[in-house]
Amino acid sequence: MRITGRARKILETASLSLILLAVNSFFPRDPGFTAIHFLPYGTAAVFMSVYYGRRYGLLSLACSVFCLIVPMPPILYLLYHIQYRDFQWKNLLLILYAPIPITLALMYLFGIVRLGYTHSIENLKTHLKTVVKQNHRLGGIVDAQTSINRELEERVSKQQESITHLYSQVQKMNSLDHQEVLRILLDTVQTFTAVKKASVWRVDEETRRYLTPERTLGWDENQDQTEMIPLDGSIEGWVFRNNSIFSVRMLLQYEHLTKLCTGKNLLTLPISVGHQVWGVLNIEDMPFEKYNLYTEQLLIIILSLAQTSLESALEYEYLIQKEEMDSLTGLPLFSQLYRYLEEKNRAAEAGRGSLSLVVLEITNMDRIVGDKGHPAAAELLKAVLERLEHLAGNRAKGFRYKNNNQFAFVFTDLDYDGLGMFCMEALSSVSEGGFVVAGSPEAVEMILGYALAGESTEEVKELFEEAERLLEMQKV
Amino acid sequence: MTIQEFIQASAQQFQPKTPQAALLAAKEGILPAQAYIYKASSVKPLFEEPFDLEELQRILSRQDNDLETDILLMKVLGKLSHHQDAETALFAAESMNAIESRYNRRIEEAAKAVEETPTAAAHRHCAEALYDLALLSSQTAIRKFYLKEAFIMARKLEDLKEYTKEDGLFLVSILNALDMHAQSKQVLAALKERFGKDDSDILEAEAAVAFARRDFMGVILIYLRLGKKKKYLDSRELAALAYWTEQR
Repeated sequence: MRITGRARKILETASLSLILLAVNSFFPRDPGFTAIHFLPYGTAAVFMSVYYGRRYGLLSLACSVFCLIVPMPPILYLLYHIQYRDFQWKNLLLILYAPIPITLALMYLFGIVRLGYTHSIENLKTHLKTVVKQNHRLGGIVDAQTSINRELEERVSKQQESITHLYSQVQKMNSLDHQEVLRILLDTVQTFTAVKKASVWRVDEETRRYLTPERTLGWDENQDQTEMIPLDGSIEGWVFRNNSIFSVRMLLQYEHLTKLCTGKNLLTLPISVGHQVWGVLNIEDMPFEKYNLYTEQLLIIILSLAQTSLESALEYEYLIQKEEMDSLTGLPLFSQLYRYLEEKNRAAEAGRGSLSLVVLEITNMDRIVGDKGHPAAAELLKAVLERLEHLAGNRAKGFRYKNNNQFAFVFTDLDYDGLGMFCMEALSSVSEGGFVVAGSPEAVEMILGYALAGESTEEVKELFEEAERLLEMQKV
Repeated sequence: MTIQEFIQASAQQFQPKTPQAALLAAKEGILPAQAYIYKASSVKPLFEEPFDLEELQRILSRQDNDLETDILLMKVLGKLSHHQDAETALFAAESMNAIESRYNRRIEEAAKAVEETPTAAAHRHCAEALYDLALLSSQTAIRKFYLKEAFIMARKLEDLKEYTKEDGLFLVSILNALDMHAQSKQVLAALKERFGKDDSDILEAEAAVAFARRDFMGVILIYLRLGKKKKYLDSRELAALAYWTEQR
């Protein structure tokens, strides 16, 4: 059985007195160690007072005195046959005068010292407990903060719709190629609004009555990329004409819009350049949960940020076009031809029409210049051009070619047979004559070369090479 | 500690690579708390060019990334696979392969579990694994293949008595991803019969299907029904309700 706490202290105190009693029993003539002024018993009491406190010191003293008075005489009688009346009672009483008072005083003083240290230790213990609890709590908070930190760190690093990403996209839009601007615009729209299908529409410059797709996102390969929608009979047209945003919720309020809707318009927004509407952005498919006011606002912001870049790109392209026109014939120069062919070749590769190039050369131009001068030669060139433009109708776009006596036509809707027919008709018409230069009739000798993209050529460069090769063959 | 003091001191100190490392260092007293504050508030989105390859590698090395993180990683790696530097492009290709392999292993384990103990939980886990891999794939053909497999696995749950509303909604989301909206409608009708026609989760799913089918009047009607239980809707649902039912 384990003895703890107070019981143990009492037992130890009593045991010490009994031990001293046992030792004292070997000194039968000096009960209480009065010869050395009660020192062992006094020391034991003071020791107990320091170790366990004043109460235990007092208990030790009391036990010691009790042991001296009660069990000591019978023990001495048993061991040494000392009679009760021969016991040293007088000597024992002497301890009352000095040893016991001094012992009591020392017990009290050392007891106070002990109490002070005990209080101090108790305070430290309490403080330590508090600190440990706090530390434990803080440890829990730090662990929680660590988890939160990881979560927030992941949220930031997983973010796709960050303002810094928007800024870098806007920076990328600073291109002088409006197609590139539109590509990045649609890419940004997709990142920020998760749209699956979208397109940018622009007014067809020739008819001014239809919209054509300028750039698309998420369209299937089977989808018609040359689709033209009427300006008057479509949602896109309505947005373009009214410079207003369309949202599919509006179908339930405005009946006239219901008649225009083909199911391909979830959100349609006007794209402005300067103070005019240039085109429209049409969102055809997006996740249901993304169709909300926030997405609408985001689209407005993105279009607004793209506006400057688009404006710059279109302005630049317009300037380039203006500078690259032949003053004599009004035809765009060769550099324009190259760019035009690249653009149309891309469209032809995407299945939007065909592409063919016809290069025409007036072989007797030098002689005419020599005979009648430059102005007359220029007049003749213009007359030939007029006739051929009339022959081509509105299907061809004319350009100047590399040399002064050359020009080119580009067709986007002729196949090989149609191209062959045009070439024969052109040669036939020019050879019929009827050209008058400086008041006199003049015969024009013309040769031509042609090439059709996709037949034997893939690159624009190859188109030129093919057409020029045919031209050179005729000169031999 | 001022900003200047911090910057000057940091030149001589250990430079943590991540906010977690900075926090641990601050906890141990190796770095001041400012180091953690600075690092934690300087986290950059992963999807920002130029891409931080070191950060990508660090996140790729984690085995416990969630699906959203893996989808983002695949997007970034998809862009990097066209990088002009061959090594970067190779790294991107290999990393994409590693992510896909991880998901494939998960599917194999889940399929094996279904074979051994065909419980509802095993079926559910396998269907989710297949669906996750479908979402991860950018190629339409592969995505459709895994979506169909996920559908077949999720369909089996309907016959089990542990079939829950969440299983049904999961089946609807698979069908929506496959653009099979008519079938979604059928599943939703069955769910309404089984779990109640006024359940807000089912109604929301129905609205999504109506939206996909371009039945916008249907969407409005559903939201009007949801509007009757406004006090049970959360802030996201309330915002959607307001957007669809208020006048523009």
